[in-house]
Amino acid sequence: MSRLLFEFHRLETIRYISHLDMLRLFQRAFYRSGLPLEFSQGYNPHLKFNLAAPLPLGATAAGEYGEIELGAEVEPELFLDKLAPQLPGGLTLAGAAVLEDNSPALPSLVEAASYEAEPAGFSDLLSAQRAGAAIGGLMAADEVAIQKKTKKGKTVTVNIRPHIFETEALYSSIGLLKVKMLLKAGSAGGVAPAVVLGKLNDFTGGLMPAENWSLHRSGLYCLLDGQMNPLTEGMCFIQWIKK
Amino acid sequence: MTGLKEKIDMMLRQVQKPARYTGSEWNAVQKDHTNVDLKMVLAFPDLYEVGMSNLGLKVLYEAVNRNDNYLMERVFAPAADMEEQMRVHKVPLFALESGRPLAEFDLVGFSLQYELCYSTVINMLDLAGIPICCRDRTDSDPLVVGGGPSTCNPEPVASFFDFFLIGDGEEALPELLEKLAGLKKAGLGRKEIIKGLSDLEGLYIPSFYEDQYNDGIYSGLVCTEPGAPLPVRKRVVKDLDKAVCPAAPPVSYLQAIHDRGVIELFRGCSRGCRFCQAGFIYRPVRRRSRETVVEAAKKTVALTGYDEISLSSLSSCDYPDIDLLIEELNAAFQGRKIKFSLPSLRLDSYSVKLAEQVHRGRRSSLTFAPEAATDRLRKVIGKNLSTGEIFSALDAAVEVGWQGFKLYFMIGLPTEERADVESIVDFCRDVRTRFKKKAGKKLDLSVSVSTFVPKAHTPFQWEPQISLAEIEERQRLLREGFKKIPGIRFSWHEAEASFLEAVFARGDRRLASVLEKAWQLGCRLDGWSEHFSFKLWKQAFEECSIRPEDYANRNFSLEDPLPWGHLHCGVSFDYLIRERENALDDARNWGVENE
Repeated sequence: MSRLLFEFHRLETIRYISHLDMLRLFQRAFYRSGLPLEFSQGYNPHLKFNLAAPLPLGATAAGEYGEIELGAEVEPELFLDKLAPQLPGGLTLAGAAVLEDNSPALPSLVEAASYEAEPAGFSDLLSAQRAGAAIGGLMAADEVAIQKKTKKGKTVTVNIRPHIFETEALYSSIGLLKVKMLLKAGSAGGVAPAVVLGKLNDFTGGLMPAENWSLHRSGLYCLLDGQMNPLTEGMCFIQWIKK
Repeated sequence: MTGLKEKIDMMLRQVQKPARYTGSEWNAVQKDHTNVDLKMVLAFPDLYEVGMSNLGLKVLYEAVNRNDNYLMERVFAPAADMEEQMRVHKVPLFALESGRPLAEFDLVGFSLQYELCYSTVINMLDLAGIPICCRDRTDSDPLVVGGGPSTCNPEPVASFFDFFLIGDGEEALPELLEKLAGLKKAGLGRKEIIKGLSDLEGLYIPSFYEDQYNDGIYSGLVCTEPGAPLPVRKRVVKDLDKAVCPAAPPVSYLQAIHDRGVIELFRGCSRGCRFCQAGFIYRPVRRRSRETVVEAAKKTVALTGYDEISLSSLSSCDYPDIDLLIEELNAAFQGRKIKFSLPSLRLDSYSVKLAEQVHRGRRSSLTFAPEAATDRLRKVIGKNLSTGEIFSALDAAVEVGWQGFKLYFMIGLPTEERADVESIVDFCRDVRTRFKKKAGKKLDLSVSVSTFVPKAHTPFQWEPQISLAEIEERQRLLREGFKKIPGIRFSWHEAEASFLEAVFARGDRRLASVLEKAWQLGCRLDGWSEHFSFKLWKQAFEECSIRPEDYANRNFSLEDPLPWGHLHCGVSFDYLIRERENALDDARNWGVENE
């Protein structure tokens, strides 16, 4: 028995698949890999496998993590060698480690995610100024309200401002380069980057619609002693093996 | 300035399930376009998740792509939101593998699975910028070929296709590509190329025949091209063990309708239920040997990562030594958590035993198709099972722990009477009561009722469909009846869709005008109830001055020329006439024998 942590990157070719699609993709890769798999009990046994946090549809990503329980001791090197050739183009493995028994479940650790949104179609100086002003407006607000549908279909108003930790615009000589965001994420709730970009669009009066941003998730974070840390800091393992 | 890639990215960010349009699936084949003799795109006129479930697509993809000289890419019908994006941004329909527009390919092949896909075919051609009628196409346009079960009467869509491949495609299509590559190399024009293909067995070139009418009634086809075959005979793969068995099909990221591996146990069906087109047009029965099936299953699991394999056929329990096969499969995958499923189970105790062997502990619901609720009507349609036999099969299923059944029935079958329809309700009530007594708990029972559509190349091809009003009346009768039985989920097929299916299933070439008109009015994806608009279809028929009833409700006499009479799909019309007589005899003699 062993539990492995692995890091992967998602590139452009498969950015348009959903979280459930990602789970299926990995499951099939594991089935093909010939690794000793471990299943849950019951009539519909499934792999003991988790991804740290759902990736938004359309986002590329670096620094994503998954964990899986295997039915035998497997060295990280072997794990990477077996799994890598089974992943489709557009999904690359960056590294792996064997987790200690006391390491917490991966999804429970996630506290925040950082995103980079690049403008697709309006990268000029004018929009750069507008983006800057919109971000200023957003961060200065005490409350940023959005309408949200509950599971029962009721519409409620939620203040997402506490979920927006940081937002920043980066510029090049010709205009807006990207907008960086650090947003609350994880099982205790959070805010989707598209929602924040939608709000920024509101602040510009509808000049930067959400479909005009190309989204990238640059990292996942956990909270240790009140500080945001890279997710791996919260996991217990001895040696990280780079692919 | 935005390039095509940025444009498509922007479109993808605005549609549901963008993975329908991005390709790059596991096992998808990428080939260099400059390095092949011939480029084909296989077009499936339905949404991605439907098309990706189709076995024929997997077979042809492998049959073509295993040859280095050819490439086959895929394209599916865009959903309404994507179509809107494509039209607004003027992006032509593109193939998934390379992202290239369809117009850049040599051959576009449509899979015609059933009649309600026709408007989508026209729409896809239009989105691709290919003239929808073949007479308007030029040397620079791709050739357009059709295949699949609907080609056993392709007449309503004949003017949209340069040719059809009738019958099994896995050997015929590579042969077609080889011929085509040769003709293209010789620098021939469109007309000469089509002519040069004409001696390929199974190829039907509609423009070589002219349809004729007498007083507005179809009177037959005449050959306008010397040497064109009459009848055109379908292609038959002789040995399934030597045929392509696709072990590495593209594995979709998003969930396909049938999201599992599939191995065809056998093609054709020896049962010959008289309403069933598949039972006739896929004859003769050809089996894959146990060894081939087990090998294929191992390969499929290794190359796809699927955890479920469907053992597909028209009637799985008719596979000889099926219990041995399942034993061998279970042994081959011991401890591997690979599931097998057997679709199309016959309603008898043997099948129940099989299902038990296959499912081993996973208890969901079993699906059966009694088709009719009275012994008489089942005898007429050639489904030779008695109600007693059906009930003991259900008993056996309940005893081993199945918790629910899905039952399929049909209304409007030839010789059906009101009592037969009412019997469907009685039958299901009996099932429910019986189960309650046996298991002491509630049974999960769903009942689905479709409407009989007379299809070409079946013994019932001459019979009319019951009128639309009558379909609705019989459905009302069922709704009323089922309302009184709690705990049964009753669903029915849209009457108007079945009516339309009947129009085109036995249609002739005059219907092309209706199809084009309906498409112009906005009809597409008619198999989806949220898109299907009978109002638009009615308008199309009216504007073309064609009465759909003249097709759906027509009672052909045995002497009438049939619009599909020039196609030979494996079973002779003499045989079909005899089978029809047998059916009517069965109906006549029933009362006498059972008094």
